Amino acid sequence: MTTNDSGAVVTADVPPPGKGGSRDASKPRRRRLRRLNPLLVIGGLIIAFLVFVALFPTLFTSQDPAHQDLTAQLEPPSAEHWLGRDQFGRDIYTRLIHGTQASMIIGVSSVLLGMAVGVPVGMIAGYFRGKTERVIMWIVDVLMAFPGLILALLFVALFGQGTWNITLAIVIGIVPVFARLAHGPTLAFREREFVKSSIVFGARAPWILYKHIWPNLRGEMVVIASMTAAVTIRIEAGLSFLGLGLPPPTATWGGMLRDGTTYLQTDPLFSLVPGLAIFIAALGFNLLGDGLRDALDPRTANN
Amino acid sequence: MARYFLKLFGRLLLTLAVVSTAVFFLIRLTPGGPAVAMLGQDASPDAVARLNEKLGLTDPVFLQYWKFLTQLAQGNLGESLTNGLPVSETILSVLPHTLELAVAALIIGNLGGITLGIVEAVWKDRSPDVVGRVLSLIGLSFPSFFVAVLLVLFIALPLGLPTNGVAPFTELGSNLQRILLPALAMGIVSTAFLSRVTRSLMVEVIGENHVRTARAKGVREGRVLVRHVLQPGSLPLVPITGISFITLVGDAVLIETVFARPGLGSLMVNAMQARDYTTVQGCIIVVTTVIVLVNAAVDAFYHVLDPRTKTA
Repeated sequence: MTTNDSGAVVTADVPPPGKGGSRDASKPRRRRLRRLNPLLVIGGLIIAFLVFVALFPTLFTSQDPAHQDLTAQLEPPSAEHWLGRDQFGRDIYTRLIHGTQASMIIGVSSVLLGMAVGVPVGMIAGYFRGKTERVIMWIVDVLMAFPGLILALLFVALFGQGTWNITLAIVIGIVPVFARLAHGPTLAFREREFVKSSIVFGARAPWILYKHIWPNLRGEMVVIASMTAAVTIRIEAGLSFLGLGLPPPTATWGGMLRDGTTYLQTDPLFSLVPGLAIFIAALGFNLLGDGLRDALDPRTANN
Repeated sequence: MARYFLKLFGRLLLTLAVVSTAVFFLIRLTPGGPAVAMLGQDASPDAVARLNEKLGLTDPVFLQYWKFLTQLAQGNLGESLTNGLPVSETILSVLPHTLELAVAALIIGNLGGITLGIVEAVWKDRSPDVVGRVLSLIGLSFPSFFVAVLLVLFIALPLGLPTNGVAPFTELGSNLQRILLPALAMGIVSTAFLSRVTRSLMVEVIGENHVRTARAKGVREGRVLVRHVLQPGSLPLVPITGISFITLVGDAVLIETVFARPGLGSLMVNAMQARDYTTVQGCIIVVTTVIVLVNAAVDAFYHVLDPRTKTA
């Protein structure tokens, strides 16, 4: 039932014959979500819930995440403290709720920033070719050769552990990914008739990149962004786990997991709970990305 | 062939020059310094100045850079600012443990991931595929250090397996016993990643005309799979293996922390916190060299497997 689809996509890319043309031929058609699949729904619900928790943590807990009670260290779960208390007597459930903020803010903003820088850079390299392309892609290759975590680690260790620094540290590893992914398709699209004819009509590069090439990349980039958020959340957690995340007493999932591993034998819940939180957030973004890919591109939906 | 190696060597030198220069200057631009890190925030400015002079950090920065470059040209990475030991010796003593871990994880990830991917592609849309895809999405969402914690909690502690440290390579049994869980923790995540890549590669090849032709000619299904699907389909796996090795070297930093293994990761993290400039530089230079060499090996292997790329 999707055999004709590659044909349909080609017609959709034909340059606009003028306003009021038939629907299929009018500008690169925005691909609609063709169907709601279970992955998309579950992933979307998980992420929506986490965003809600990050925005309104006080709706879920009335306690102070930094409140210490040294008389109740490592207290087991009770009606008052559902998940028990940590090594300083702080409520683990409350810290879990408040830790959502660090993960979501840093994870999501580093993806958005990485995409906002990387995609234009990749499109510029692919569109202008020549020396610009060689220099940009060389830098991209060098940066991509390093594990994202090591880049982030180096940056944070050098410049400090603020929200902004940690976000930037992760962005450095994300920019080249988006640049590489935007570069390839741009190379292909710049040779297509709808771009050539636009050049003939006198359109300038920024217009062509924004109006003709970006719409063709958009769907894929949204999918990649969602999947990358799963990666950035894990990098943030990894940094916190190494003690290079947001400094204490701010609650972070990675930091809680780090604290918990010391008491793994006596109090396994302490490390399991934040670990599961990181897992669920990453799973949410992975499901969302996978679901979006199927929904945006019916050819892979049946694969 | 000689030209190929010359080009490779040139690229290695260029990358190393850029990376080491960037690290050298960036690290010196940052707030704090080894003296402050050693003496504490409240140390008197006098003591800090004296220690800095002793460490040679009061020299003009370009003089330091020149010294760094001339030493580097002789393969000398300098002495650690914190303990005075030669950096190259310290690194060489831990590097084998990190590489061993990354290689072991790579083997687990490749064996598991490629097998799983092929099974999914062959049974596309049937239960092995659906189950496999869900599992790989789940595996891909696990941070490797949490997998490590789970392995310690549910496998190592009940079975009484060792959960920390490394053993020398001469004690093979003990060495393998200690590397199993860390490698498994990293390998599970790697398996998930590779199974997704393999599946989509194989699904694409299975849909191609030459496979249909082979089947139409009456070639047996097993032979179609090996000769017409696996052989062309596995080519892109070579560079992907390179990428996953690099990711694993990064992951090793976290895993080494969980299992208290001495390695490049823990060495680097500690050196950064102590602002031990020479050790940080040394680690980055060594990591860069390993990465460039791995990429070169991947390239060379790819050329051997696919003669079409030779001219490129």
